Amino acid sequence: MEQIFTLGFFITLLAATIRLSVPILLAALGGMFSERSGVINIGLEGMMLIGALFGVIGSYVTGSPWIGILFAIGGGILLALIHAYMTVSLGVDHVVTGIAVNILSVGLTSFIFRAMFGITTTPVKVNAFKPLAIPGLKDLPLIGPILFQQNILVYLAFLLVPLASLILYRTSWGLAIRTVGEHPKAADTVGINVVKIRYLCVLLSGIFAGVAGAFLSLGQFNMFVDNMVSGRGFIAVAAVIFGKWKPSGILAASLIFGLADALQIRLQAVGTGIPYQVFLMLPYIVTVIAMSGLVGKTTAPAALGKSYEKN
Amino acid sequence: MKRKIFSVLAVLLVVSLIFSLAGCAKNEEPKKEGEAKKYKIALVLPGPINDQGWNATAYAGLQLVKKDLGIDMEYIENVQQADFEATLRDYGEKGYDLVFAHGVQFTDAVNKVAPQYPKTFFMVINSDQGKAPNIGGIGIREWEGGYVAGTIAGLITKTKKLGAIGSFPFPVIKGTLDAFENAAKAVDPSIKVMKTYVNSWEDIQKGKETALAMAENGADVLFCSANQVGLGSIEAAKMKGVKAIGYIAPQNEVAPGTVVASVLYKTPNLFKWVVEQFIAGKLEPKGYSQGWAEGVLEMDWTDEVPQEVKDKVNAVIEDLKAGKIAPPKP
Repeated sequence: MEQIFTLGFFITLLAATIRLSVPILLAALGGMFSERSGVINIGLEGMMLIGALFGVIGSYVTGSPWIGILFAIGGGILLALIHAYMTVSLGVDHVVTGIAVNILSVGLTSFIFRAMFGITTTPVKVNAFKPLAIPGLKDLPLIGPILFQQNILVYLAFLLVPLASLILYRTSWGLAIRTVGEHPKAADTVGINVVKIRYLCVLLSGIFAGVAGAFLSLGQFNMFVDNMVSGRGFIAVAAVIFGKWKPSGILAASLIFGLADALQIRLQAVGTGIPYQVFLMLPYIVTVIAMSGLVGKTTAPAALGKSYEKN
Repeated sequence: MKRKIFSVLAVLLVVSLIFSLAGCAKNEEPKKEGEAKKYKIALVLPGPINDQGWNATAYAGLQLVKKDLGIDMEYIENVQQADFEATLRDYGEKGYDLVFAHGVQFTDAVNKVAPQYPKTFFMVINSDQGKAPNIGGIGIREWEGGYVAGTIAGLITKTKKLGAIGSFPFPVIKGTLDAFENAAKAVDPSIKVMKTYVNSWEDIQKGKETALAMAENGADVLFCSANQVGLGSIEAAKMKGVKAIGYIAPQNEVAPGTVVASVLYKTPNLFKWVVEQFIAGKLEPKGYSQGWAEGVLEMDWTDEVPQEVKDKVNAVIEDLKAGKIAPPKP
């Protein structure tokens, strides 16, 4: 028990929190753009999964994890295009399409992986991202070596938070997104192309989710295994709502989910004598508590989930 | 507009179904000529055949049966809990002779379906129960594998702290981790074993984070019984410079220098044995179990392990074969 309240414990906990938050954060930021424009995206899980696979394929073919990221983005865009076409152009129920995207992705990734690499007993390894130390900061006592020696995708994910905020609140494009999500008809009357904005936002969510998947396969590992995303896309969907559709809120939500998971893993490993089931419940308890009023009233974009047809 | 929507939706669903089934279900008709009787045998799998673990070993069993006995087995993978009954019923309906259900989670579905298809023999892998006239169970004494892994870990640890990761606290997995702990303590009672369940078979990142937490807490040998999750723990061991013990599949090559030895499941032998018994008409509706003594568990060493450790481990294996070591208490 005394092992819990040490500095070393907190620092390693913090590092694990960051690693576990990043995929959720990346996907949730993408989901935020989609939902802010009025398109529900529960297909994030599937888009992450295809990103994870395409990232590995890109790195396998070219030897460069950066090209892998481009492939991952391409994979994410591919599924996002399907989602956008179904929801925006055809007006199909967003949730149904999202589920279809997830199911498609599970089968598609498994199929492509086997077609390319066969049924292997040892995983196919590719070049992955190496930890990148930030000069100066990495020499900070205690926290430096752990917080500032992550791979580049980690820094990128956190830099995207203010960037997303900037785009959403300080650019005319962001204003257009928000207007389309709140009142598409009004947006249309002032000359905003609703269909174009929604397409772009859904594609953006595919790009973000693709990178989130590649973070798992190329940032945390150097391989793909079936269904490796394991529900993180769904947690990202929750993080979008929990974070009140705002970049800063989503950052907080992702960190809380990451922290709850990191904490339960550590508490189990340390062996406190408390039944492990309690720890396994922890991330979900945190979610329930958070959703039941702790974050205050959450208001979704008014036109969320509603298809828009010009008449 | 509406019609267009539906046709596109239909196409999308069909495409997604094709992809989720393509390469999953594969019909292989028995075609060996000159055979007196053509056996129709099916293998029902709860996961993908390339999971480098539980399901992959079953697929290897199918290949072994084909190679050694010349019998083509049919298989279906990624069968979800909700579809267990329907899938089993389907094979019963088609008059299959022998159906393998690959996992103890199929028990309830088999018990329900089997009485309706008396001509089909249902074999539940990892079940220790049978039921007349046509349900059998066969399992690997997995705790024996955990015991040997624990012996190795106990002999090579320097920090006297070990980490053991399990998927779900099913009796079989819990027994494996408990046996790991018992074995380590039999080597040196002062050894501490951290045991953690990750509630997943495939969450590779959680496997890695769990193993990192254990290594940061002083563990210097890690063991994982949770399919793909194990690849995550090996990755963590490599990062932290600690050792790992491979499990089920030959994992020594996954991270040379990190994985010092693997306890292998020769599950294929188990399938071959059952099919042989079945053909000979000797398969009984009861629970079978196999371990080191029957040759379904095997060691795969690397040069990282000193000979004296290997000798001690081999002695333990002999004791297990002779039944001198008690299984962990449930």
